[in-house]
Amino acid sequence: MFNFAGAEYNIKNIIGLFERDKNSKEILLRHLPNNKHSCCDLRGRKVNAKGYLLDSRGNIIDKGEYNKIGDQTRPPNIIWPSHELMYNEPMKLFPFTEFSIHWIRGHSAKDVTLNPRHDDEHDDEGKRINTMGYLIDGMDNIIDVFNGNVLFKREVLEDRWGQEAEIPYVFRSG
Amino acid sequence: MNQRTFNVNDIIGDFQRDADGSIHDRDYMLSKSGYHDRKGNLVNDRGYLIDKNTGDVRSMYTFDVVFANHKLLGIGENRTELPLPFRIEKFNFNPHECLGNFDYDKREKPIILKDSNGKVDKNLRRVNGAGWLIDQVGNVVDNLGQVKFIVE
Repeated sequence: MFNFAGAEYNIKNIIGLFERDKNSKEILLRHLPNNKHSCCDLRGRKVNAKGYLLDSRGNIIDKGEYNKIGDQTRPPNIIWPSHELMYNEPMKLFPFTEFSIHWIRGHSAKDVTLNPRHDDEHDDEGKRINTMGYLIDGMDNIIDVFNGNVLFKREVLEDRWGQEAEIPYVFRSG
Repeated sequence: MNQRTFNVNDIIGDFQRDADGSIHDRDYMLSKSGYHDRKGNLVNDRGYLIDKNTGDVRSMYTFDVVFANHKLLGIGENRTELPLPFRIEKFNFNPHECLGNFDYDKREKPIILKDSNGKVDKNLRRVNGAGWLIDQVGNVVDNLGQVKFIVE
């Protein structure tokens, strides 16, 4: 699986260890000893409500790496920044996940990215676009060309010419 | 159902599948079967289970409407494709709901048990070598037995 930066990761490396409910088999969250408002796993690591490992800022992290005698050889890395999560879950991106740039690009006869002033605000049909030529709603979220549903929230976009406008790398890299 | 819980295997008919989860030789299989899956359920030209009268895409487990026909993508009256963003996010799962119940060693590897039928978890549910819950044919399932990933 991949994150938005295109880095491959194993989903088992970003989840905690838990006891299970006898009947439902759902995970049983514990409280951190010094903070009853945060949850932890069996090893005392901070987790969210869905059981993913978190750092102090709420980003999903991996377990780091350990050698055979249990010493840490690499500290945990951030795999999913907190602003990229939805319902406490990361997007599940596989090599076979479908995506087409045509699902979000406005209809313009010219390439708006070549405009040196980068001040195009509407496509040829009068729909709002950002500096990359992608359709956007009133909150600058990228929407699809079919129904206008939000595909990429503004928070996950990268800066291009003074606007949060570019989609995450993994969707541009093929 | 939301953007991070939707899984296409909840709405797709029973067909032979390819490694990427798509229906093997879809157009030929569907036209040959008269748009019915191997269990005789009616499907549309994408292989999604549909209501005979409304054309709404339905759940294989509850028969509830998952996508009303007017929300599907297509041309004119022929709307059969999933709406976005569900077309992108169609293989959602929570790993804790699909992993077996195990004790773990110091390196956090699951201690997988065995019985006469093969590998099992502490609740005697079938699992594969990596600890994922599986059904009789090897598909990865969740705690409710709902298929999340099809075995090739």
